[in-house]
Amino acid sequence: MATMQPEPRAAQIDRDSAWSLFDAAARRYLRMSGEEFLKAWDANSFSDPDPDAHRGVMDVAILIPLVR
Amino acid sequence: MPGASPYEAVQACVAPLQRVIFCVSTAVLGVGGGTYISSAPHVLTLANGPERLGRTGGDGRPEVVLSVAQQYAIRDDGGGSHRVQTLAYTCKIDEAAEGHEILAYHWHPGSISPVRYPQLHLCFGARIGREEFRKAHLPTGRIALEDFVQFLIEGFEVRPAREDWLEVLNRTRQEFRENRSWA
Repeated sequence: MATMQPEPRAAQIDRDSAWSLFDAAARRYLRMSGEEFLKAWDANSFSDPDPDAHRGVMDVAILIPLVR
Repeated sequence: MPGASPYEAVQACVAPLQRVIFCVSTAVLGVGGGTYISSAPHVLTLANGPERLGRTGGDGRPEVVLSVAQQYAIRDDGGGSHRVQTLAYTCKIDEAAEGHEILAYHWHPGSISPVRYPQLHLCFGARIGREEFRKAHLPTGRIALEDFVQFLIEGFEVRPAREDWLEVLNRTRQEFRENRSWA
């Protein structure tokens, strides 16, 4: 008899893991810490002329809601 | 994919995406508490970070690293129905050995970037070489994760994690097309 596979569920990323993911992404893509990235992001350091032209910025920025 | 509650809507959205990821990896998708209606976007991403993917053709083929992230919101459709709306996405592969980005699909219409359309970046690891590509945003349509994973298997020779991967992708692709909120 065939068995139904349970639907996969989304894992919950807790606060510590979220910060670790964010910090690792900043270090991987931009060679800076997550904290340094947030400071630079808030200071609009990536906005001239296009943050997407700075490789990796949007790959980190998309994760900001994980830590804010 | 609608759900009776915000939580169920998120799970209904994630389930097919997770099946897609399982076609190439055992990596698990996770959300950072994002199962409630909020004016701030939520994030869906690989819960343990970027995932190394093996390639067919022998153990000597260099691995690639998969990254996937989405920002989303949960909408109340009324009548007890809730739906997840994608607000932005990135999906990309990098060289595992050197860490160079190969290519990245981005869509982030609500960000401070002036580029509003879905786009493809061909990066250093793609070894294109032309200066014009260094900062180019190559326009694309919205990219479904199913299409990206099929490209990885067929075009990049990423090793499938299950034999029926094409069947799984076609099934989830059909679900995606029936439920997406854009043409």
